[in-house]
Amino acid sequence: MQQDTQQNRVGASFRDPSGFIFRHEGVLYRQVNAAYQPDYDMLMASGLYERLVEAGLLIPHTEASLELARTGEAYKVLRPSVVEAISYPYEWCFSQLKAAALATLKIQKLAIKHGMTLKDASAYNIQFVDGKPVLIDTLSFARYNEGEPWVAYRQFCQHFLAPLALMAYTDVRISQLLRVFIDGIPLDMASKLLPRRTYLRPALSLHIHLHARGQQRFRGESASQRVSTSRMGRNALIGVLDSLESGIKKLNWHASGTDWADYYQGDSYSASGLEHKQKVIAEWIEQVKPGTVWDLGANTGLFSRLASTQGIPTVAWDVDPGAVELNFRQVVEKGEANLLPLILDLTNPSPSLGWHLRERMSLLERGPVDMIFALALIHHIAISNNVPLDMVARFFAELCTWLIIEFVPKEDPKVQTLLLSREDIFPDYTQTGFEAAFSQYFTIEQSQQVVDSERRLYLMKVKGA
Amino acid sequence: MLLRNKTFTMIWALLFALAVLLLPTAKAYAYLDPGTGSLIIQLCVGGVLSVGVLLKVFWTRIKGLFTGQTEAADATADQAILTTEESE
Repeated sequence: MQQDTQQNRVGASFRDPSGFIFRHEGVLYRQVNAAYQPDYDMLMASGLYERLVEAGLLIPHTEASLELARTGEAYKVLRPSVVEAISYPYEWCFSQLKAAALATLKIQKLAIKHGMTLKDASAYNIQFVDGKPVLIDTLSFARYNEGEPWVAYRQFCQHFLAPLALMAYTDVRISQLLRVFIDGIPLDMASKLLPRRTYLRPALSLHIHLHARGQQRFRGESASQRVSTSRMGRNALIGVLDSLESGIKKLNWHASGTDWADYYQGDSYSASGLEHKQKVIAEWIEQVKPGTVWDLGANTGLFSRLASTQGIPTVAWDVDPGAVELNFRQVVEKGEANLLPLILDLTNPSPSLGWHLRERMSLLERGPVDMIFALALIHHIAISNNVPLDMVARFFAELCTWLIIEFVPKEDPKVQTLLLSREDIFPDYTQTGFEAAFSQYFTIEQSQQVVDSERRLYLMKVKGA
Repeated sequence: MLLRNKTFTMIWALLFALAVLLLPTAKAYAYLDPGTGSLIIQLCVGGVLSVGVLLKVFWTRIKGLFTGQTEAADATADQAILTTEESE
């Protein structure tokens, strides 16, 4: 994780003067500043903290020694529970963003009931733990004073409502805009991109279209110029929250017609071949006992589950939002633990983003992990994307200690399909070439041919690890 | 159905225009800039939506008169927030 060298502060933790996150001897802590004392005490004493933690909506923490404090303004030092895998909204599928949005609204409603309010509604404050969205920012709460509007209303619309509406009505891939607009999608842009029929949806009409026009109309005027005695009653606030909630619940996206969603019903393996592949991978997992696994090109997570069901925190990355959607829905339906499906284009992985490029971690910064799976993936990288094999090996060596990789030879029907419409400019794409390229960075520990198939599985270990 | 849709569209268009005209003013303090336009819209939209919330509260009370149930206890109300379905 990117840190400010002075106090080992985490790079994303600077906007809110209530406190910040820092790392000490490998452990994450949160300093609560004296200025936040009344709100923190209220969170803990009002029963809100307990309620939210019990419901799995807020990250639990313990209070640590104040001696760990980084600055003199500290009131408390907290030690939050660990979130195994950090992910960002541009890596979430539709249902993940929707779940995060609804969780934020639930939290806000419960907070209001306990006399508090969310002072921010950033999608980056939500992380997934065992398939469930959890608020990780304990300092997001402030005392609610009757009559106040919701300060985070705009942020909520930009971070959640606008991207969800665009994904549902325009194109699911629009979630990638969140990489560019780090504070959520500008509402005037969302309003322009959404089809006209969304004006007929009350929630979208009010919170996106009207909202965007209001922003335009009052641009340049400071709030103080228009200060009056206007108050926003509790019912008005609840009305806004209810409207956002019902609007978001009505948004849906169906993962059909994407590239991979029905891949496993395809013809890459015979039944015994698939069974054999699973058996070999399961044995190697058992042998290595990795602490964390990333399955690259995981599709809907069939092989990821060989690790996650063994209690190993596993991320199932895939480029196809449809596959990630199906995978996530399965996690939710079955209440599966340890598995986090995420969207990732390996040919252009998540970069470092934000202020000083330290707010959001790149894929590399979140690694390395103990073990990577690269199953039925190499041909997509090496042939579809023209990446030389030794560059693939070098990249994987930066991401992991152990690698389970499958080599798919040119004779394989899937590779033949890729080569149908293009010239074969890959003379080194052979089993020998593959082994030579990977041997520069890895030691090949074991390898096995998948039965009824030309494909071969390898267990490799990074050299010098 | 078509007529209903048209009427619905017209009502929305009217409400929309009305809402733009009746934009009030507001202030709030926070580390996050709530945005002047966003605040004003929220007050405006909230004002309209609060009518629905009030009606819902009254309706629950009226129903309560007949079913003998008074307002839900705090814990039950929390549970209602937590167990809401993911889609409508």
